[in-house]
Amino acid sequence: MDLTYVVAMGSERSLVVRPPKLNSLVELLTSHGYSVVGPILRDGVVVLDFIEKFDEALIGVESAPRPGEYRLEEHKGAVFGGPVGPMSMKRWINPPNRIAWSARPEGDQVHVDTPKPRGPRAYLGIRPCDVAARTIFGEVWPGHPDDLVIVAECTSVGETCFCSSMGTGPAAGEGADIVLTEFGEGSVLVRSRSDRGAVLLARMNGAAATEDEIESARSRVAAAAESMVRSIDSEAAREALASMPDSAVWDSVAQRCLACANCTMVCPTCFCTSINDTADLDGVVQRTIRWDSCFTPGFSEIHGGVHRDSVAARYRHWASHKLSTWWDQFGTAGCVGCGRCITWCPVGIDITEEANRIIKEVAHA
Amino acid sequence: MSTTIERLAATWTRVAATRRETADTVTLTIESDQPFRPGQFDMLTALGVGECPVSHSGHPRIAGVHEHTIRRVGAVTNALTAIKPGDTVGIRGPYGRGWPMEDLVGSDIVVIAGGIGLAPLRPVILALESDPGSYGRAALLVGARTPEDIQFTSDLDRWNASSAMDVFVTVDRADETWVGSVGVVTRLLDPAAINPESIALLCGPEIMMRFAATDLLALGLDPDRIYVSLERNMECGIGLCGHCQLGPMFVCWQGPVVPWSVAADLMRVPEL
Repeated sequence: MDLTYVVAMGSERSLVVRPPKLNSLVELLTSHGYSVVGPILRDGVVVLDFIEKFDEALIGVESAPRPGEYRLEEHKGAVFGGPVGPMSMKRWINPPNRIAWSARPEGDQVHVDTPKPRGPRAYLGIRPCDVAARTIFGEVWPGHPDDLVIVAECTSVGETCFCSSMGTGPAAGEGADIVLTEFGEGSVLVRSRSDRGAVLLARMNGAAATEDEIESARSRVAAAAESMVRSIDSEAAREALASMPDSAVWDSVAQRCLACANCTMVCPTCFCTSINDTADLDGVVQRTIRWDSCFTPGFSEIHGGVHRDSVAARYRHWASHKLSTWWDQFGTAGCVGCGRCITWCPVGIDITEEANRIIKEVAHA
Repeated sequence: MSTTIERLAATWTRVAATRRETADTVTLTIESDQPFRPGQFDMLTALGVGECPVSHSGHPRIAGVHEHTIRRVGAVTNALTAIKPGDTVGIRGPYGRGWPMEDLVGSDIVVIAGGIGLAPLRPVILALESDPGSYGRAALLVGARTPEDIQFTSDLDRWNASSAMDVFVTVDRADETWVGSVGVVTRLLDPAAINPESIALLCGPEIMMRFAATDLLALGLDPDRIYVSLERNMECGIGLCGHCQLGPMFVCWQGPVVPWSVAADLMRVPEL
């Protein structure tokens, strides 16, 4: 299948780009000093990894997430793998296991080595919910100041998606430098969203996007928004979850929840880590920062016991953090509606359903 | 790379002296010029073992050294309490919000400490001792499990002798040598002696602080003038690791010291 780039630069200047592959964009980014992270198909799952060229295996297939289930399905016109796979930019901004420093004693001194800082990255083909998540995650783990984000708007949605209600998608919001939109038979509309994005796009060859093409892309995104089935009233959830620590909903979730921590691992905003020191036989000590989860019993442990012992309390902490206390801490929800926690939950626990139960409970109280 | 990870870098410094307080508790005197406020804590690293939060227990205005009093409860505190003078420890901090030192000026003060909870309060009392004219009367109520678990006994003797302070000590379980009070620390609260305008500073087990705060409220103290020092799993000290969350609060930087008006609702919910 041939791909067409249609590049629209602001309202004045627009270009249609051929050749038929997205590789010219990847090459352009690489030549500007970015390492490029983008979607690839691996083991039947759309994940993000370093790419040197666009993964053509993604063309015509997309993620089909459902509660407790993820499948890859054929979808004509799909270029960037459809709704989100399990991996978000979090994996690359703050990797799951990371060395903070290594040290070895030298006499009565301690010699410390810190890892080399990495260079700027371009994140390509990232879904709008994940771009919103990057901004939220960035409050704790900011990433590189020169990182570039190329968002791919969603023209189809998964069963577990609820970004519309969280105000993060399926249209691209803030936080992207370049916006891509799939439309037609595998065509991609390319627009710049920042000065840096505009500078890059000026170096892409291509033909102008017509008004019809821009409208076609826009209407596909709008249709995607219309087709979303799940939602949370974010404002209502914020208040309801803060006021219902004793709700029976928490116990009912705990009867199904395995406390496996999948939801927190796949969540693009969950930032919790643990800090571990290890020593090898040569006396070299490493301090690592490793993803951790509020679903593990040790997470809240201090001498003498565990603060959140019951699974009900752990789920309550997590859901309340995502939808309520995150507002107190960071002025925004900690949930972008990507639906990953529903998809990758082994038993399909649905945060929208549980939050809506609590909201209903408050309304009837 | 972000500077986030660089904020976890420790400074390596020398332990100048160690002092055994009780069977399981040791005070380290560490060379450091970093100023701190009473109630704040540092993250201490035993190289190759790990890192943990420890409150400042020394005088806030003695330059050049920090004191940290550590009870042995796990691998890291085992290593830290085994440290010898001249050894090296990693230190970063200070972190968190401390006691309301400015508000204490001119005010009567009730200090209630349970067990090792006396350590984070010791800098306040040392500051009071150095400058008694700036403060009102201070009552220091100390509870320990047994007579052998009483921390800072020589300090307590000295403070007891001071005319600016009344010191009361109680134990949960007495032995044959003990002639003092037996029972929970709240039983030391003497309604007749407590000025309702006092500021109260509480540090100890959560159950103790809840009962003490409840009693102080009943004696007419303002919930904004009762302060508690909270304890949660603090791994980073800078709001990064997420472990110390208590409802909307990161205890590491929004605490550990908070007024009862803030703590009451959070402490009421089991397993929050």
